[in-house]
Parts: sequence; C-alpha cells; structure tokens
Amino acid sequence: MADKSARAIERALKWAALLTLIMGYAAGYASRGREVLPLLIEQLPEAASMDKISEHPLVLAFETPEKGSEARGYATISRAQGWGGPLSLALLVDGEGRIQRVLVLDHNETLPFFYRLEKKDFFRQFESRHVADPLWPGEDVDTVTQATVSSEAFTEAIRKGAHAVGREVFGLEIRERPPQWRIGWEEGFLALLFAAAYLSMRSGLRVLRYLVMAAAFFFLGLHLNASLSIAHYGGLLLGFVPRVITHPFWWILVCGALLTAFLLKRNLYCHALCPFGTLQELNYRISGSNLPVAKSLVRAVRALPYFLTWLALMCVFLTSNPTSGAYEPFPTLFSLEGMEIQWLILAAAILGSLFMKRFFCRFFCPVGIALGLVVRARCRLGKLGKEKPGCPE
Amino acid sequence: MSRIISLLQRALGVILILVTLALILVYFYGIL
Repeated sequence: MADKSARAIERALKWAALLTLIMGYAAGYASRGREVLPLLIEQLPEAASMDKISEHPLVLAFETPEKGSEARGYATISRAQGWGGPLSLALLVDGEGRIQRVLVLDHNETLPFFYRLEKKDFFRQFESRHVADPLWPGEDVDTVTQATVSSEAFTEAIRKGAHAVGREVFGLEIRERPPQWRIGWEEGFLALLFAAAYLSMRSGLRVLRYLVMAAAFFFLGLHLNASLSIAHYGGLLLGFVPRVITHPFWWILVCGALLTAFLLKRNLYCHALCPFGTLQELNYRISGSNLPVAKSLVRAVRALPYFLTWLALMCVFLTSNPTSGAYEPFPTLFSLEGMEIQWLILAAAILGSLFMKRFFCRFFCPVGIALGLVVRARCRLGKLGKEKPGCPE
Repeated sequence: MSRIISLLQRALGVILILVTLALILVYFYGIL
C-alpha cells in the first residue's frame, strides 16, 4: 500500500517537473530577443548624435564632439553562434576604417571560457585593424586555446561587423569566404575515443577502459576543456545549435553522446570519456578511503540529481541562456578560471570524491541524468517493440 | 569505539553532500 502511494507521488512529481519545464520554456521563449541596441547606446555615453546608415546589417554613424578631428565614428552590431549559444557584439570603427573597440553586448559562453578570452587580451588584438582585413582565425587572428570555439565565434561576429562597415560606409568590395568543413585530427580522435569506449564496455576489459579514460582526460579535459555540460543539452533544447560545417567537434561530442546512449542503450560518455569522472575515480583510489554510504542515505538523495537537473533546465529556459544552468565544476577545473562559487563547488566535489566513489556523478551530475534518461527512454521504446532485452539495470 | 567511528563516517558523508548541495543552490540563487 505504502509502495503504491510512493509510486503515485513519484509519478505526480515527474509530471509536475515536466509541466513546469514546459511552462518555463514558454515563459523564456516569450521574453526572448533581447534588444542589444540600448546596450550599445549605454556604452557610448560620449556620442552626441547617432544616425542609421543601414538597417541590415545595422551600421550607425556617431559624433563625439569633444574628440575634435576624430569626432566621427561608426558602430555596427553583429551576431554569431558560440559554444553556448548566440552572441552579439558591437564594433566601433574610426573615420579611417580602423577598429577602435570591440564591445561584447550579450553572450552565452561558459563564463570560465569568456574570462579566459578577456585574460588573454583576445579582443584587444582587433584594435587598429582595418575593416577590410580578412580577420580569419589562424591567419591574422590568434585564437585562445581551451576556448577555441568561443574565440572563433567572436571572430566571426567581428569579421561580419567589420566587413559590413567596410561595404556600407567605405564602399569597399569585400567578399565573404564560404564556410569550409573544419575536420581535423581532433574530430577524428574524438570519434576514435567513442569507439574505444564502446569496445571497453562491450569487452569488459578494464585496461582498455583505463586507457580510454586517461586519453579522454588529457584530450577533452586538459587539452580542449570540452567536457559535456547541461549547457549543451539546454542549448540544444533552445535551438542554439552551431552549424555542423563549422563546428563538427560540437556535433560529434554532443550528438555522439546522445546517439550512442540511444542506439547502444549505454552511457559511453560517463563510462569512460568524462574527464571529471576520471579525476574522481583517481582521487578515490589514491585516498584509499571507503566511506560507507548508508543505503537509507542513498535512497534519501536518489532524487537529488534529478532535482538539480530540473533546476538547471528551468534556469536555462527562463533566462534563455544555456550556460546559466551549468553549475558543474569541470570548466573551472580545466581552465582554472571561474567565479568564487564555482571554485567552492569544485573544492567540495574534489573533497567528496576522496571519500566516496564518483561523488559528484552519483549525487549531483546533470549530464549523467540527461544521458541516463535517453537510455531509459530507448529501453522503454524497445519494450514496446518487443525488442530483445539488453538494457542496463 | 568502532560504533562512534562508523557514526562519524556516516555523518561526514551527509555533511559532504549537504555542503555541496548548499553551494550549488547558492550558485543558482546568484544566477536567478
């Protein structure tokens, strides 16, 4: 009887969670489309007048009388799709066509990535560049390692804005290059890691799993700082998806983890690819401690990661900003940048992992929950279609 | 003695979980 009512409560809670998420999504959608022009005007208090030169792309001319001979300048607002979603920035250009300043008006990039760009003076490299310059990553623009996708997205927006001013104001003939497929060794290596993770799971070979974990730790963690986050799936649900032609790595990582979970009914990412999971396992082994976790405690906090995933998604939907829900400590750890509270979460997660196996994964991680839900959904579909069993318990 | 250690260990587990949860909630409070 008690079991029955507990199940009924659980079912009611699931429906309530789903309904509130839908309502949160609708509320966020209704308030989307933040006006960025007022943000630009706010950042240009010295401008005495502003005239619109063109609407699409938006190019404005402004006067700053106190600057004397350098009084006339131009501003443009441009957008691109970053790692975490759309971003908007304004470019200020002087009367000779040289970029004066880059003003980031709105972005959804993971904060540690963005801090890294600012710390490495990424935006300053554009100052004094001419609007007709190619502004192409790897050619005349230096990207920032461990924030490569963000650097490229900001560069794309800056290039679009600069070239728009070049065409609309200075009458220059600037041709945009068509986007090119950007598949390199990193995309290939990531696909290989997924295949190796699958093999290690199928074969049960521990050595292979440890090898994959080590490789993923160095590659996804230390080299790229590209761990999966709830921000990816929040962004996917919001429709903030980068183009596959320019961001194949994003697609292999985000959709690869989802598709393998769906098709293979196994969560390969958490099994062997998550760099933070590897670090936690390593911590646990090094500490040698084995804190007994009471079954009653495990039962009591069973719903905790689900609740946090719900909270993270609500945050993402209401703010229409995928990174707002990303409370995971991975980006802070691998970039060594972050807000104070993110550092504290990281410290607590690492401390916990010394005493309990995969502490953060078990009690707090939303990525494991998201991928686990996909596996469960697939298993349910399989049952409906009378598919052979093969689902994890 | 071993009973006390066992109790302390359990308490440590609960404290670690609660502290991490509290920090995550503070993060969300800051965001919203």
